[in-house]
Amino acid sequence: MPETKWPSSTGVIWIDDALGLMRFDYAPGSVCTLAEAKENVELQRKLLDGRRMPILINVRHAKSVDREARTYYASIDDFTAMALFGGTPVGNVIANFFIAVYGRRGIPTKLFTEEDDAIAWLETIAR
Amino acid sequence: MTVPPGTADDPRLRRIHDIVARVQSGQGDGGDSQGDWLGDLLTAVETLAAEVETARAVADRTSRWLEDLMNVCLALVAFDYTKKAVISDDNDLFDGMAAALNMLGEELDASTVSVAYVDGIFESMSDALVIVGMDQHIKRVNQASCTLAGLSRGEIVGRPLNAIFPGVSVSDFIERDGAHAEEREMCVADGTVIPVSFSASLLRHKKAGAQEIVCVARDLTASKRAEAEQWQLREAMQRQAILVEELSTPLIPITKEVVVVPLVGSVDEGRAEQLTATLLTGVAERGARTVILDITGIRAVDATAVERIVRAMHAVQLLGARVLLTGVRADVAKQLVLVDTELGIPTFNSLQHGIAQALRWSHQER
Repeated sequence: MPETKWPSSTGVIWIDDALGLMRFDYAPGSVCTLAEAKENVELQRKLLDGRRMPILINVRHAKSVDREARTYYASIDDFTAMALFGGTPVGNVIANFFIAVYGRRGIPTKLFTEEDDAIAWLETIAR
Repeated sequence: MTVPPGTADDPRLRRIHDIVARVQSGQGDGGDSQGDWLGDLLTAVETLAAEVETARAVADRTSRWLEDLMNVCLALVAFDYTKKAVISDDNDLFDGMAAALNMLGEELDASTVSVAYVDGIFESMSDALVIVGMDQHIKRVNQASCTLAGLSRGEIVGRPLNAIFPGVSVSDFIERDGAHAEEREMCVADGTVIPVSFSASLLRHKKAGAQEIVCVARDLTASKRAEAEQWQLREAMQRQAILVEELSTPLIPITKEVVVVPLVGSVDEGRAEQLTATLLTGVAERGARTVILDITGIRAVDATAVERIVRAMHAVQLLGARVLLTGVRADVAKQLVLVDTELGIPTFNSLQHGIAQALRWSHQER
């Protein structure tokens, strides 16, 4: 059964049941402020329904995620691990800044330029 | 046969073809074009022109991007974190750099205290702030210092600290690791001195130890004045209390031998002592033979107050004088009975009757 994808103002969120992880893809050109971050987290929590699982975030096409949004995301404890899928110039910058400032907060967080590598890492974390 | 110039057989055209082909292919030679090499040449030139135009457009865009990024860098250097670089939808390296600069500015804004902010704090403080170097000379002052001293910044900065605060010493502060709320003097513009509360702390730089002294001076003039006024008020109140005391237990001579002591108000321990002293003085100094203690004006009487009055009267009796108690009300009578059933002191409900009795005794004894 295909997963149901839930759109937010900056992307789309869904749960990949086969892989046992949540996925969030930033829409091309999306600008994420605190308001959008809160919207995304609310939607994620609705889907999680109390569960905790890893998340794969595709930041390749995001245009910007401001500091308030980054700080808010870093305060969320809903995920067991976070893989950032970058590989584009802006996506890499966003991911690297997040990891540099918040990477030591207790949730394993890593940047990947290949989606398969990101999924494989999240699977090892989950075991 | 000579080839006419500008025609297809002109070897220069061939040469042009080879050069263009070489530039396009990037190889050492231009290849060997057979057939319509002039047509090939035209196509190659058109392609090259397009490439040059594209390259120019890229160079222009690159130049604009670099200028934009440079402006953001210069703004960051000037602690202006509001300037943002433009990020296009191309998501290329320039966009990556722009995103990085913008995010760097955000992080710096969140974590850096700007010089302007610190300056603002320094200048807005209402106490005088003076920064002194290890050479004992003043390096910096805030506006409050200038206002307090009545001097301009230029008149204070550079002077020795003890020229403004006589008797202070940087070496002393270093030895004592600062000073806290010491009462000192500050020299002001008109040559006078004002009292200040003076504190000093050592400003240490990470590796070099104490580098400067931060001094804070608070004007004590107003509080000293208030203190003096309070002292005067206290003294006045004390004088007033003594006066009230003296007036509260007067000794009124009726005759040479009869005195009246009217008691008004309440009788606490202090008042009772005063009463006893007045009575005994009256008897001893005046030679009074009869003392009339009038309690008409006493407020509510409790057992303790009655006891005190009775003790005072017994003290007078010990000096050999008679004591009459006048103005005895019903509530006082009730308490008297509880305190001393064998009072042995004549009581009268009015001062008039008491005086009349005292005068009869005096007459009888003549």
